[in-house]
Amino acid sequence: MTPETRAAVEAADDVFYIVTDPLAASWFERLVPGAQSLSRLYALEKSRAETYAEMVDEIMAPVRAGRAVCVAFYGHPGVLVWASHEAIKQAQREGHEARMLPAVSAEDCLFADLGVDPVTSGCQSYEATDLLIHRRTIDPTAFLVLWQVAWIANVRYTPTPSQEHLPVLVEYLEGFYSRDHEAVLYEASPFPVGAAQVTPVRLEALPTIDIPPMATLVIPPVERPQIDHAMMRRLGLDEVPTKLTD
Amino acid sequence: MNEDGRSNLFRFLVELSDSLELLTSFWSNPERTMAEAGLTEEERDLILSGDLIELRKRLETEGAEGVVLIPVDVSRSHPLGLLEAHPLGLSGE
Repeated sequence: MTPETRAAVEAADDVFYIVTDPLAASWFERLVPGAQSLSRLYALEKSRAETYAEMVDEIMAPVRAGRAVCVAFYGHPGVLVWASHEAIKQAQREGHEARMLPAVSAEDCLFADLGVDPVTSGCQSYEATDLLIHRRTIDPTAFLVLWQVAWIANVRYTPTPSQEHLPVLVEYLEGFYSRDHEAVLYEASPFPVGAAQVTPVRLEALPTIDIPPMATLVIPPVERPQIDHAMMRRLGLDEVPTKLTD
Repeated sequence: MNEDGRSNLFRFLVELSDSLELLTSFWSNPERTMAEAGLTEEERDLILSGDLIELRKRLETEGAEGVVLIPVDVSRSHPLGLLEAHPLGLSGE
């Protein structure tokens, strides 16, 4: 948490939060006694869309009453969090001042832990279900980060993931990679100690292993991208800039 | 276990998340810092092992109420609504 965020949390009249591990919950409750967890809105088999709408309602009620409200989400509040974007949009539409403060997402952690530079390597980032239902086109010359691979098509809350759709994911990925292409399942440590969990896995083996619930699938490029020599000449380049070849 | 039902390990990690002084001390001399916090040898070994799975297993048993794993449903929350008001002027389907 940045000093700016901490100041926002401590200055608020009402604080809501969502975290995914007991350590973070305990830390947050100590930082802000009386902070309310929004996790209670989840219920078994309840539609997540309904839960998100309720979160926005919870957040907006004190905002509408003129109170200063701060909401803390695990990871980055703008990454894979619908309620944060929606609450800010609603608040601004109703004439309230509202903004998001940045934080550290799982993707930021993996760039550090796996030594991936998303700019020099190229990087695509998709949520697994989104990849499939929108038939996203993958560029196999750049890294692919797939979020929530253990939760494909899971639209109602269940406490444990279901891996029944992993064969569908593998089938889709085969359109871009060989079956034996090696990827890694990655999970950052949520604790101030402990190493990231990094498990190498061949794509074809994905349906056969237990995927950690919070894991992100990282697929390295298959090959280097082609160079457009005509474009290089237009740009006056004699050689590919060093920063893109390292 | 302490009066609040939390182990020294749990308390230590919460403190480590919050105290720059303790974190600096831990990084410079982990053994001494953990011993001063009253961690058992087994707890110290667990921390030094860096075993995320085992750490999570241990800490989950001391979980606060209401902690859940929260995947996000993107099938109904595709950000077209965001794109409509995106500062770059992107428009949705």
